[in-house]
Amino acid sequence: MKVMLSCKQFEDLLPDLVDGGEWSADQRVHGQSCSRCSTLVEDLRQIVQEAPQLAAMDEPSPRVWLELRKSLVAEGIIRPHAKPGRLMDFFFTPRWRPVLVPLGAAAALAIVLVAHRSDSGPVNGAQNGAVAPANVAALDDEDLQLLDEVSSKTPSLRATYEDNLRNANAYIQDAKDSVARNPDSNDARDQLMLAYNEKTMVYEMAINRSPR
Amino acid sequence: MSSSQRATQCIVLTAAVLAASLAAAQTQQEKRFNCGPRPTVSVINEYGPVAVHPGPGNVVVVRYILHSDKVEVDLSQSGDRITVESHLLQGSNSDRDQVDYEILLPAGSNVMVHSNSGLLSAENLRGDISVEGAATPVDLRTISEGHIHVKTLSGNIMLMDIRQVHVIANTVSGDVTLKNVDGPLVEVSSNNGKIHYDGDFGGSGSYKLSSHTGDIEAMIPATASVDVTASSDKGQVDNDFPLLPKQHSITIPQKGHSFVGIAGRAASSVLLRTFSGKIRLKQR
Repeated sequence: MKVMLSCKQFEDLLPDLVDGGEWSADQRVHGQSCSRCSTLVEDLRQIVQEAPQLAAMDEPSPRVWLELRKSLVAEGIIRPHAKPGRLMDFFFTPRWRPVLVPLGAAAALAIVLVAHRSDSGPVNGAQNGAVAPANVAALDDEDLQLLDEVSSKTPSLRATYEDNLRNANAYIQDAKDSVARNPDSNDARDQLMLAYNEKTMVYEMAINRSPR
Repeated sequence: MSSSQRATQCIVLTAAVLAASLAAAQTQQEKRFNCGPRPTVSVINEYGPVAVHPGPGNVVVVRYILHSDKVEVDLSQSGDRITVESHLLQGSNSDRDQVDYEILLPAGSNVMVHSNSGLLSAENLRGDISVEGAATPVDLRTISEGHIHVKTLSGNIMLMDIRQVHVIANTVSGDVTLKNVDGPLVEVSSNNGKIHYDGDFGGSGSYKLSSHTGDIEAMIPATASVDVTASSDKGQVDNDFPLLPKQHSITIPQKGHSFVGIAGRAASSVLLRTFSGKIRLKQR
């Protein structure tokens, strides 16, 4: 009796599939029964198609990629001893680097922000003339700089941005705790990425669209 | 003339002067641009609502009301790209100096809208739509074919009768309501706002509704064809829909915190995920 491929075995074979290779019978059986893996293949193929548009971007030095990988390992977003051929190693091959430029920049920014907050300790809203409730996440120096920028241009929006930065920080903190408790959980890592994306969105909205 | 009559005359005169100055400040204007059937129209507003509707012919009509002389509007056209931008002048008093926009355009237009306040709405369109606002509520109805991308900080998001559209909607503290929304990819996230879905998760799509502390509720008909995974790290999950067990699942259900299952031919995948909010799947 033939045993169906596991998700891990399927992931190990992903590079060939994404490169346009034909599905083997085993892969087809797994893909038909596992929507997560079949969706992953579709997503990766779409990235392959769109990657050339990003090829013109300047590529950082190999040292930057090593540092980024180290940071991601330290954050628990990827595992330190992943075997060759695993999904994250696949992404870290040179052909994928153009795609990772914007993603890496956003993740690195978020990681630096969180790390900086840990180093500098909590800064609460008292410095802004507002007292934060005990159950609301603190703001770091970068957050306060951003809020100063917002309030210099659009004072009426400062409170909105402040509330939402605290919400984003609380999400990041909860998601980091979850990753620490469940380092092998894809769900926990997805939540952490979502939380970082949320904070990135708040920053983008403040920086890109604040009235000039 | 009695003193009371003089007082009345004074009040009437003052009111007339105020009304005249207000009318002068609130200037309604209109500008028309000839274009192709699928122009790209950007509306960047500092403060005030933006309403977008389909109009007749290959013409973009921009109607706007200036609420003060401390704000001005720049309009430009380059081929099929039309840009409408309002900006505050020196001495402006922020949100009092708003501009109200109404845009009529070809139904296939690609539309980008931004404002910091006021309702942002669009209806009966079939192009790509990108809407972004800080505290602005967003209301999109009867959209088909294109892509929708919505971002707000605290503004609530309402999406209704959205068919076969890629939808990405992100908010930090706003609520998100989706009624009759389907498409190949529907991704919605809110940090602490509620997410409410009322529809059939149709179109063999991939649906992801996620939150940090906000509750997620989905109401689907008995005929829905779905493959559902729901999980809440710290909150409760509640399923009133008759799902069948999945034969192969990477998620191990934890009683009270997650469930998985399929219905019909499991044509669409549905992921409901929250950190500490509640999840409820109900049959309509």
